[in-house]
This record gives sequence, C-alpha cells and structure tokens, in this order.
Amino acid sequence: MKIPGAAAAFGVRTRLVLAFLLVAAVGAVTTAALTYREARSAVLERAQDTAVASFREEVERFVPGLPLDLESVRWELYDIAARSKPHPWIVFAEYGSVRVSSGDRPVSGVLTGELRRAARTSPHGGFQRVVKDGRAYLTIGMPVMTRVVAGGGAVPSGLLLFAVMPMANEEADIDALVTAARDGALPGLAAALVPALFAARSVLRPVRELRQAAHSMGGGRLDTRITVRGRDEMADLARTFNSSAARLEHSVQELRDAGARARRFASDVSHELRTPLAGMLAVTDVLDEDAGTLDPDTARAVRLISVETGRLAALVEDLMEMSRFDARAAGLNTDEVDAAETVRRTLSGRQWQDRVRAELPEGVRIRLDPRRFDVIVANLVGNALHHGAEPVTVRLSSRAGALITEVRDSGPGIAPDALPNIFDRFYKADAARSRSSGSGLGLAITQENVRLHGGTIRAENTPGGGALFTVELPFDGPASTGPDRTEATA
Amino acid sequence: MRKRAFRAVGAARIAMLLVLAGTPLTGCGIQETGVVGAGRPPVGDLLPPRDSRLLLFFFSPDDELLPVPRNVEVPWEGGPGSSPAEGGEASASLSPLTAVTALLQGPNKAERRAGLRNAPSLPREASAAERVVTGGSTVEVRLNLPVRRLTAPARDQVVCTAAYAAHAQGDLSVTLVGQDGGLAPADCSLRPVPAPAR
Repeated sequence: MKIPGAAAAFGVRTRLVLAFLLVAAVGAVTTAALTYREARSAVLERAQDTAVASFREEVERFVPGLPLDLESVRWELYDIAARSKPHPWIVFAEYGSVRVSSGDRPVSGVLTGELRRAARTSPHGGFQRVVKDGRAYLTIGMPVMTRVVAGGGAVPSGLLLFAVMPMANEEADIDALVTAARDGALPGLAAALVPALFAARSVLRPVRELRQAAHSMGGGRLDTRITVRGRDEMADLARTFNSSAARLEHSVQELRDAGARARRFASDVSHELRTPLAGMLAVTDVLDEDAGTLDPDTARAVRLISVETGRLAALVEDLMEMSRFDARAAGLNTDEVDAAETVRRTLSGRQWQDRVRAELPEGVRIRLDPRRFDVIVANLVGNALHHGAEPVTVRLSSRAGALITEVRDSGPGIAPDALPNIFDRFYKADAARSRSSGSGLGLAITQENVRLHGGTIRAENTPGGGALFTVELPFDGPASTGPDRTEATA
Repeated sequence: MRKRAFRAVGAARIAMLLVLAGTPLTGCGIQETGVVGAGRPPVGDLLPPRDSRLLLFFFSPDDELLPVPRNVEVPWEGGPGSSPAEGGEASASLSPLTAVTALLQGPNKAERRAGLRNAPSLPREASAAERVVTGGSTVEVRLNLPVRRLTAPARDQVVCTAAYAAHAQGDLSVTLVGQDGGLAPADCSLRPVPAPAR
C-alpha cells in the first residue's frame, strides 16, 4: 500500500488545514508580490521620469562657452544642482580632458563605464540605476548637441553631462511597501485558518460518525445507523454503510434464528425423551432385580437393556445440560469453599480415592459453584481413568490469582491431530472405539463449566507420556473475566 | 529503500513549493539596471553666431572629431541689411582659407587645456594653406603639402573645417589638392541632424 510520508505523519485535519494555509499563502504572497512589483515600478519610474525630464530641461538651459572653462562652468553646474528635481543630484561635466562637477570630486565613483560609453556613442540620453555600497542611485547621462547655426541641424558638441541622484526616498517608500505587504499577508493567513478549520470539520464529522458506527457494529449492535446529511460523497458513503449494515443485520438475525431453532429442537427432544426414559428406567430396575429368576439368555438380554437404558438416560441428561449452556440458561451458584476438601469429596463420592493420587495443599479457599466444580473434576478424572491409564494424579496449586487444577494420567496420551478437537461435542479421539462408555459430551460440558467460572482449560501431552488437563479458575470468580462471559451470564 | 525514495520525493515537493512561494519575493528593494535610453539628447546653442567665429574641427582625447568655435574680431563691412553670411560673401577674417590656416596652426592655449589636438599626421604649418576655391557645391582646398600622405582623420579635419566655413551646414564636397596631386571629393563625416526648434 502506498502511504506518502505526509499522509502517515499527519491526520486528515492537519493536512486539510495545511493545504488551505498553503493555498492562502501562495495566493497572498503572489498577490502581495505582484502588487509590490507594480507599486515599486511606479515609484521608481515616476522618480526616474521626473529626474530625466528635469535634468534635460536644465541641460538645455545651460549654455557654456566652448571649449569649457573650468571655473566658470563650475558655477553653472552649482546652479543646475540647486534646481534638482525630485531629489538633490550632483552634476558632472566632461569635455575633452576637462572634468568638473558640482560636488567635491570632479569624477563620480558611481557612474559606470557602461553609461559613459553609451552617452558618448549613442545619440540618446540614458539613465541607469546603480547600487553602490547598499545605496541606490539614479545616474543620468546626456550628450549635449549643439546647433551649427540658429534654427539649423545639430551636431554633438563633445560635452557630456551626468547627474547622480541618490534614491533614498524611493528606498524608504519601497521598504514601506514590503512592510505593508508582509503585514497584510500574515493576518490574511490567520483569517484563512478559520475556513480551513470549518472545512476540515465538515469533512471529519461524517468520518468520525462512521468510525463510531463501525465500532458500535463491531461491538454487536447491528442496528446502528448513520444519519444521512446532504447529497455529497460523504452522504453516499453513509447510505452505503447503512444498507450494508441492514443486510448484515438481516443475515445475522437469520443465522441466530436458525441456531435458536436448532437448540430449541435439541432441548425439546431431550425433554420429550426424559419422561419415557424415566418410565423405562423404573421398568428395567424391576426387571434387573428379577433377572436371577429368568433363564440365562433372557437375563443377559434384560441386563443389557438395563445398562443401555441407563446410558441413554445419562446421555439425555448431558444433552439437556448442553442445551442449557447453549441457551445460556446455565447459572452459577457460587459459594466459598476449600478447594482440597471439594476435590476429596468428589473422589470419595465415586470411590476413586484409592485409584487416584491426590496432591491437595490445604487451606486454598476459592469462590466457585461446588456442583459445577465437581462436574469438572469428575469428568476429567473419569476421562483419565477410562481412556488413559493409572496412576492418575490430581494436583491443586495456585498461581497469579488463579486456582490451577491438573489431572494427569499415565496412558499413551492424546493423538496430536486430535488435540485441537478434544473439547468438541461427540468427538471421538479413538475412531476405533466408536462405542465408548461416555456420552461424548463430557469434555464439552467440562469446558462450558470452566468458561462459566471465567476460567480456561487446556489439554496437552506430557513429555513422559500421558495426557495432562489443566484448568485455571480465577479466585475472585467470573466477574473479573472477559466481556463474553459476563454477557453470557447476564 | 522505498521510504528513502518517498522522503526524496517529499523533499523535492517541498523544495518546489518553496521556489514557487519564493519566486515573487526575490528582488526586494531597488535593483540595478542596464543603461536605459531616455529619448533625444538635449540640444543647445553652444556655438557663437556664425558671423563672429571660426568653426575648427579638432580631436578630443577620445579620438572624437569635435566642432570647436574660435571667436574672431570681425571689422564692420556692409551697411544695415547686408549680412556677411548671405550670398557666400564672407569677410576675409571668416573665409574658408582663414579657417584652414587656423586649423593648421593647431589648437590655441585654451583648446589645448581642454585636451583638444590635431591629428598627428597634420603638419603644424600655417603657411601650407595656399588658397580655397569655392564653386557651386564643391570646395577646392589647395595645400602646400603632400595631401596623399595625410591620414584619414587629418583629411577629415581639413574637409570639415573647409566645408563648415564655406557653408553654414557643412553641406559641400571638399577636394584636397596638394603637392602630390588631388584627392577625390569628400564630405565632412560630421553632418548635422535635424534638431527641434526652441
């Protein structure tokens, strides 16, 4: 994906504001610069035109005798300098080898050879702006022509007159222009900040709403919609978002309904099976007692029916338990108990205390649902005894605010490809043993119970062989766990 | 690698913006200029009236041929209404021969002080000017020296001086004749251009 540096570094608001300011700056600077240039040329041209015109006028009034006489000419140059316009100038005259001026030096350091050459060779007057030592001067050069006879044609007289006029006033005027342009551009930029912020806001508000809506949908609130304002691209986006959200909500609702129907069906089936099963159990109990009086073949059949009916009843109980979990109808009935005592009671209640080695530290108290914890331990230990091999070890420990219950067997362990699915419903780790003694729901129910407590369960194979199931239950109950569980208990 | 490329592109972009923004700002203050033509040169009447001066042509230190007036005392000749300038009847003190003679004498003290001089090949012999014959639109100047040995600037000096002495606007062809024969008729290189009337 291409992300230019600026896009990565700044937010949309900053970029929009910067773009606005940039446009405003370019506009302001360009306008100011063009205005400045025009005004500067106007100032300079007015000064130059005035100076050139008045200097020519003065020169035409100046009638020295030829060849020039230094002393008399100097006084006339003083006169021309005295009538300077628009600013005081110094007049320099050149004739042959004569150099004389109205200033204190006969030759100017400001006049360029270029202007002197132009005045000598070209039949026109000329001027040149010169900047010397940081100061600007207007220099004017005039080759004086003389008429041969009164009213006749004119020939160059060989007399050159120069004027050097400092442009201090113009410099001050132009500096004032720069200051004015700068002082005008900066408030302009500041003013541009206001529409920039407004524009950024108008773009960003729909984006923010969209983000909040998307976040809200991600949180499960599929009925979130955005108010559509106006007819621009943002409105199109909002409309698209709304229609997508509506379709998504519809699909999710269909899925939910299907799931709910399936769960209700399973629950109904279990319920409907329970009543006839209760009757059948009562009958098989009676038949079981009378089996001794029957002939051996019939007795074996009766006992088989009795066992299978009991198993079926257990399966239906497990199914109903699963349905309650699915319907989120399972609740916690918590009590503060001694963990070791609870585990011991579970083992003794099933006559397992001789087959299971227990490492139960005393004095670990935890708040949990004793019945559900009993189911967890009984399922894990029963699993270990049925599918693994003895010795089976139950070990309690506590770590980082959680009670850890470990059940370890010494069997062959769980096949690696079965490990990820071990907690799935009706998943058989050993395909060959299709008819196991359990319902196939034991580990699934265990996992649901652990989750209900806000805990975690994991299965692994120990390095020494054998499976190890680890259950972690938080000491302070399910309230401290993630949001999915609190939602389920609500 | 890619990031660096982006950074380079970004830097180039910023530089371009700066140039764009900076271009109008360059050249604050007053800039120097070249020489700008400022219309016609000033025209004055720097020469004395024709009936009281000789017009000689000398070279400035910059090798420029300049018209240099020299005042002469003119004795009163005609009665009222008769001007010496009219009809080519110049008095002897203003005749082309006088002018050429003065030219060959070289610049006087005041003119030398202003740096004026003759062309080097022009001999400083006042007596070399023999006679000047004015006829129609030509002037023949006879000189007692080898005219072919004169350089072009020296010939120009004599031609202009004779032409302007014989004609107010110098509008005549001048033939130089010397010991070694004559030269082709020539015009003065310095011709008046029309000037606005006062």
